[in-house]
Amino acid sequence: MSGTAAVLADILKYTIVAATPLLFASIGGLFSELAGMLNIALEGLMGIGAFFGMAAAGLTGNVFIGMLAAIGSAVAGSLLMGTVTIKFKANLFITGLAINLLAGGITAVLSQWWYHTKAVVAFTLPPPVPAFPAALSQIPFVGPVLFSHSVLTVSAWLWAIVAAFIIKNSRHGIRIQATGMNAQAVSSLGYSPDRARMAALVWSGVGSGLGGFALGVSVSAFVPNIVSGRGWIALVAIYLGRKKPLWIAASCLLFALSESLSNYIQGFSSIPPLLVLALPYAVTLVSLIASGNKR
Amino acid sequence: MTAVRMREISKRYLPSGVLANDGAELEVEQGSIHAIVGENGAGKTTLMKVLAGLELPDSGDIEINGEPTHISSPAHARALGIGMVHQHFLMFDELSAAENIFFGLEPVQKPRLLRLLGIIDSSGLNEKAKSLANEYGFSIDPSAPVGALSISTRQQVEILRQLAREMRILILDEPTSVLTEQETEALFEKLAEIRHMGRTILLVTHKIDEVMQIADKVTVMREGKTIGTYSVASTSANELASIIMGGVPSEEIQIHKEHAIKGASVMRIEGLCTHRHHRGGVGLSEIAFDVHAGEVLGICALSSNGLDELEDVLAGFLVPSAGRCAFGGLHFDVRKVHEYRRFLKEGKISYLPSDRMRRAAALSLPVRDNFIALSRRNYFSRGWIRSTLARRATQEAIHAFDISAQPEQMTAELSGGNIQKLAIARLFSKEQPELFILCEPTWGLDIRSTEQVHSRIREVQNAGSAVLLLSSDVDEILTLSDRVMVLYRGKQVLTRENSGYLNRALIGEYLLGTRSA
Amino acid sequence: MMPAERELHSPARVMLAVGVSIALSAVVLALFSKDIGSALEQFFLEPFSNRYFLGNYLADAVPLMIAGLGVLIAFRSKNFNLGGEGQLYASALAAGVLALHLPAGTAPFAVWFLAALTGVLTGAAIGALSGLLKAVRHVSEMISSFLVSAIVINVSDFFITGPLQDPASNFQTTRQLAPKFLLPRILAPSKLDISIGLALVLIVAFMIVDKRTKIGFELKICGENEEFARYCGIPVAAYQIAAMAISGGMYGLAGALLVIGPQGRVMRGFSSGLGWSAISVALLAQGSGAGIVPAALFIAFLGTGSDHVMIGSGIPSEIVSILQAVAMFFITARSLPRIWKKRGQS
Repeated sequence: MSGTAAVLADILKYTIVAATPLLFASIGGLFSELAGMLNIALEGLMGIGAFFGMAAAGLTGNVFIGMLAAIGSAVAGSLLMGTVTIKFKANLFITGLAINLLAGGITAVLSQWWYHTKAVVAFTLPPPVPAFPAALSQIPFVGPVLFSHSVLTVSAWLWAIVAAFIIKNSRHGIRIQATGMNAQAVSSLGYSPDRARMAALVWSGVGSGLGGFALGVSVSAFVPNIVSGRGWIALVAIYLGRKKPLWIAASCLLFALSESLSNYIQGFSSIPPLLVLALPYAVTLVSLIASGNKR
Repeated sequence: MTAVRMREISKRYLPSGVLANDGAELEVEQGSIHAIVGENGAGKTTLMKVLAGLELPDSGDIEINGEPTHISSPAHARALGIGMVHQHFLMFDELSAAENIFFGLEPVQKPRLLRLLGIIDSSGLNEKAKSLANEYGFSIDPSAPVGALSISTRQQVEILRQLAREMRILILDEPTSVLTEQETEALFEKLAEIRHMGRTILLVTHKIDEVMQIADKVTVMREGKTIGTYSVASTSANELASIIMGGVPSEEIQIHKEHAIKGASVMRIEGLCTHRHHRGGVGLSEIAFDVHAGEVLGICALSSNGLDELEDVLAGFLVPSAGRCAFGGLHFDVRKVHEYRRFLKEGKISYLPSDRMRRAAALSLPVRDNFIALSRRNYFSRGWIRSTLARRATQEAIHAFDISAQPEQMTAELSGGNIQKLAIARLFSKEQPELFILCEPTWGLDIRSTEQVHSRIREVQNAGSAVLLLSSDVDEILTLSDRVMVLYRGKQVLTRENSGYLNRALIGEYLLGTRSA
Repeated sequence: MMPAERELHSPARVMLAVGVSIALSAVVLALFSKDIGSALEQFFLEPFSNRYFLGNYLADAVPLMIAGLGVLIAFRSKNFNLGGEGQLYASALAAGVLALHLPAGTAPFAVWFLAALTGVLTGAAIGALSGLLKAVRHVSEMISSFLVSAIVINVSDFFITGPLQDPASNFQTTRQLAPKFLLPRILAPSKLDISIGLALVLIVAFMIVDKRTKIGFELKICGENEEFARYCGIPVAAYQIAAMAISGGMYGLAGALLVIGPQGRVMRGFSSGLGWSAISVALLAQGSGAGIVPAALFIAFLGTGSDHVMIGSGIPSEIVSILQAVAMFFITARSLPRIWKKRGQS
């Protein structure tokens, strides 16, 4: 491959990797959005998933166990949020904020307690399992871009497909959608909107936990502020994607591309890194404004 | 067999204190279409809500299919086979018709794993919907999202939903209020088919022509009581109309009107049209009127016939689709709402909303704040509140209008009637405008307060203001108006001087659609 | 509301939130400290033990009072300003830059005034942006304010570590302000300065505007019932935007005062977390201007106690986030579950 093609392939490959946490989290967040709840805790839940997931993976040396821990811890967080919001009739945005604060606090305190540092905690993990046979990844250009990814990265897309299917084609998914469309009708017909909402929050937890875990795995460490606003970007992806999984995935790719580009530019150009870091947020904001979302 | 028997049903709503049902009775034969008619506020909807388990009666007995029972909840009503199709449909707009109909009961895939996961058998679902629809002569596209469907089709989906749940007693609450004539015909065909299949249908309506067309028996209600039940075959539309209205001769209504000296035209409206809201409701069609200084023009209609839409247009809250207005020396297109709203802001038009709770009050603020909110210019001098003046003015208004309240009290604590009086007091304490728009000004008030309000209206009329009175209370319209206008299905069906020729029964016929201009 | 639940009223909620936070802090200290006795003393008593500690504690409460007031004003119009972190930070930088470029002979009072003004205007502009986006494009002010905040934080960091970096310092920070440009201290040797007076004046001013002026009246109505506000002819959209602008302006003022006060320069990340704490303050104040002062004092206390306990016992100061989060849960819950009632009855 020529130099430019190699660079492009690199950027695209990294785009798909960077899209993984966003895709996990935004599809999870889609459930809660469909149930009528604007979930601003995706950020904190991702942080919780990253920390506990990496801790478990590092402890057991088993990535799968880490994944389960990530899901479990984030679900616990969303259950807490759901219980206070739904059962105790609290304000959804405030409980979301509280979860974000709680996540920051708990991860820092536990990091200090277990690893005696609040800074970067490196973990040695088994090498990532490739999802495709090595031969496929040798194909020029397409190989590195599409077929060199790990099972975890590919799972994000499987997650999106399965979730989309469940939303459209299962009783459970229909009930969640209906709750967001007309909660009063749901209860008039004899079903509980609260149960659907709680379930939707649990789904957000699953997605955010996986998303956070993917972040941790990508750097083989837990870093304070590892999530760095991606939970919010995932939220915007849901709006930009007009609550449709396919378009949400496209939005995630868009934001991941801007992150990938900004990394690349940092690598050699004279544009200051900090300004470039702001790029994904700026792209997100502009997309949000352009789409004129009707909330 | 008697499907439904209700005896001595009484229900008082708190905190408004309104006695919606006062010993009401109902007896419905199985396999019949039974209409329940009456004016606004007669108690028909409340009685049906009791039957559907949405409200608990204060007293009374109910028998379903011969078995005495207390209907404690909507779920219980459903278990008894009672299903209600509401005026405002409970639709899931982005789901398909089939998904709406079978919500919660969707057929699932056969294989064990898929069944456990609740994966829906989509083709089976659509087939089921189609066959159910065909059974009753409906024709719907099961896979279309209901949000895009016409109102009448959405109503069919709503009805099918009840049929899908094997409801044997179907209550329809004002089903034709959102339908055109043709759509109504189509609906009645379906209802006949449903009756043919042995179900019982209760039809709440105030449209006599429809009762005559489709119902077997009709129960007339007035002021929470049951007046009587009649076989449709043995009565006529006119007879029914007079039973409903009570046929009080107009001589008994005191008309204290000095013959008002009509001044110049204050506002003229021409060709006013509004879009029919896609969720139901009716569109206004070529409404035209003018009102003069010193005159009261009473506009009357039953619910869902366009009065709400007219109010929202006159309030500046709804943008019409067409029309022209002449006011204050200006001629303009009514779609330029900003120009119109200016008159409200400047106090040239004073408007009293019909929805007291939502539009005319901030319930969590004290009475004083609510009182001064409309005339902030008077109660704030150079940005600072004139609290003594505010308090005094509030107190005076409370006294003058006999309101049971304290200025510091939170408005939510007041009864509905007192909040109403507060809104009226507030409006009448302002500087006299050129035009008053008063909507349901005495709804829920007792007789003495009603008379007080009426005399205030006469006062301002004599002092030269024009008054548009939008009300569904025919007595009030007859008492106060110099001219009367009636709306039916969004169209103007009567515009006449209020001479001795107009009486309750006659206006009733226009309201109920049995007579048109 | 189910009959078995009890509605939690405002004072009860506040007391519950405060009480639980305090109890929880004791529990956390017990869990993580080796010597619980001295940990408890460091958290609860040390902040009040001498002028230095007390002064610093009060100084920490000042930006919370000012910014918390701003958040409260946004809440009035049912707006949720989540961009406080960036509004405060960017405005602090703007004020700092201005102060650094003023000629050495400028009267101190002029410096304070101009710096504060710069802070207010910068913050207000950022806040107003979100308000405008909501009014014109229906973009959620929560999300837009957060995103803008993230952008301006990065941009500010760029300036601090780049063109504005103090060449003489090992830290990532701007140059220091001339000592005579700083706000005069009270309660030496602590960092408490006269800005506490300004904070109290602002709170009183707000209470007056809220209760006695037309603007406060109209804002109140906008928040309570938008349809009614329209009926009264109140320009709802204008108030919404103004509320976001004022909220941003308050954050900006708090930032500016920190720079010409205890900080004396703009160090990277100096205000991290203040934005969120101000929201906790506004929530605890339960809509009352007077409530801001005790609310700020309480939230500042949680932070100060955590700092003391970190220095004294090595417990991470991030426990304050956990305490704040728990307080938030209790503050926002509106009804107690059946379990509580049963226990209360037996």
